[in-house]
Amino acid sequence: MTNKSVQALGLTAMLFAGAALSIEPAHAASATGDATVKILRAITVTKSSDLDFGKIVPSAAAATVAIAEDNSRVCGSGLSCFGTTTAGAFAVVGAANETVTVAIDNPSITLTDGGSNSMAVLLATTTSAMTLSGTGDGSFKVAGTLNVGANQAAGTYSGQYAVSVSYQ
Amino acid sequence: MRAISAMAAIALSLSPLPGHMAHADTRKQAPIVEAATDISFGTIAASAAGGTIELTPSGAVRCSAGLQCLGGERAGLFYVTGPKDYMVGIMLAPAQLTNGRGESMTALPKASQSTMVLDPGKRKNKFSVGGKLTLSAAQPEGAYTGSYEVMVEYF
Amino acid sequence: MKRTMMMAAIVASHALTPTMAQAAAGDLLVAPTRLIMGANSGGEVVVNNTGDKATTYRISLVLRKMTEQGTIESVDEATASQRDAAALDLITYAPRKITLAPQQSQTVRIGVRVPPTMPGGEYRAHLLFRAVPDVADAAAPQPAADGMSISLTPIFGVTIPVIVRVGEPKGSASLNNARLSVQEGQAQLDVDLMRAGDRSVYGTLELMQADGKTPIATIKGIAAYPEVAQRHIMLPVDRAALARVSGPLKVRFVETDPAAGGAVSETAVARP
Repeated sequence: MTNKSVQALGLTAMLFAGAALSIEPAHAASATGDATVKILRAITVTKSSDLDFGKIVPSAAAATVAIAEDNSRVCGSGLSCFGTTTAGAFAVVGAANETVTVAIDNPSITLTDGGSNSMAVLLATTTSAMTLSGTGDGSFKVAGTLNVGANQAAGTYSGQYAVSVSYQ
Repeated sequence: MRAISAMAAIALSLSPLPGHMAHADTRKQAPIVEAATDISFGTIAASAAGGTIELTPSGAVRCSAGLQCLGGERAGLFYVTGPKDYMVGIMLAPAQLTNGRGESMTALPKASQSTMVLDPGKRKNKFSVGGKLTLSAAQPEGAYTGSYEVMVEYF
Repeated sequence: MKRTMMMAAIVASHALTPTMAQAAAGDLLVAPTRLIMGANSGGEVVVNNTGDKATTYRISLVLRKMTEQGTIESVDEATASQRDAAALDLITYAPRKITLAPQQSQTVRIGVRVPPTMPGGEYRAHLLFRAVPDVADAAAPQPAADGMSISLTPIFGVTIPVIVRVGEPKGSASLNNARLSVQEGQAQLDVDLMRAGDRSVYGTLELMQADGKTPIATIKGIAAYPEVAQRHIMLPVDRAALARVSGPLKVRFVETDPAAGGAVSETAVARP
């Protein structure tokens, strides 16, 4: 594009010179326009995977199911666990080498089946502060421990947890 | 104010031609160019990698991968007033945008057309200007502004 | 005709690229990442829905405090001291709830109004941007016939500090107790950022050769808020990069806060 405009200017100069010789000066007018842009440093947070405990069949005794940050599962004695499990994962994009802090706002939550049945979940992350990479990328994971009651009723249990990424 | 500065620019562009002034064809007056709207590339969320922002002369903006265009964009608009049926050429010079702290970037403006045939009357001939902006990796934050020159000439 | 079809194909593939496979409801972008405001001023923050579903975001003003370890903790509004909660009354913002289509953005306006009787100093609150989950939309797994399934919806938020300066509070930074260590194959620099005066300090920390110009390791965006007189910083250091340089080392803190005028403080670092 630069080359093109230089060429265009060269061409005009030639035209201009030609016109001057023929004693009919080309008239030119110019004006100045302003251009503006606002550049902001930004942060983007994206969920890359849900915390998934897989499928669980309860037993007569209470037990826990723990999902670690590496997606592995520890199934409490008596319980039957199957299906794939994943830890919660989040991606953060910001400026290169910038530091941000990460916190789970409500590490202890209760899941309900919409009726009277509930289960407690404890959430944790090993990332409390992180420095984004030279390309501005970072990620963190959320592990969880589910408390399954004795003869916990079957059904779909749902709940929410909140994580926040803070700039200083 | 804008019209006045355009007039001033005309006076300047005419003054370096003293030798020919006497022979000037008085029927053929210089076109008047008036800047009506400034270009705005809007608000951009920068990334660590840098990239380009392209604003079409019709006012649509596109950010390259990694950058986010956050709105507020607007193409520049100019009016040309001059004698009927003359063809004029439109040329633009690159602009250096600075943020007041010494950091800068280059904008290459691009007009909606490179020539136009004038209709008679004030503000009857308009053209718009977009452009391409290149952000360096880790371009510092800030509100960047700069000026670019628009030349309208008879052939 | 052929050409038109090719064009159409290009357009279609283009339209697909911005949609990341992992993008989902709630993904968000916030810019800028901190605001420093005068006693009676205005500013704005842009929120962009980077996900692939229309999402509602709630914006609120919350209190956070920094610890000497450099972590940021929530502060309950009800138990906060009057001084700590003062910023909540100085800062106004609107709108407080926005619904954005994918890739759409909106500006949140921030205003600061300080009563004339307000003592000079720095006041701070944090703007929290949080996606409001669409409960019906939460990935609903099929309930197992003889078991149970669990659906956990993360609500993730971003906070950025809004710093209000009344008068021109002074402040300065210095570094202390810098020590480089190698543990389990990982090198790290530990240093205390000391803060004096009535304002926060903010900047970039770099480890470099004592007479060098190129940093071996860098962290940007480090603050020490007025509630701490010092804070700890841990800077991970690439061992290979460390091995490439010889001679004495130093660590330096370059203030990027506009009030600091680029002040630099540095201290020597002993090699382990």
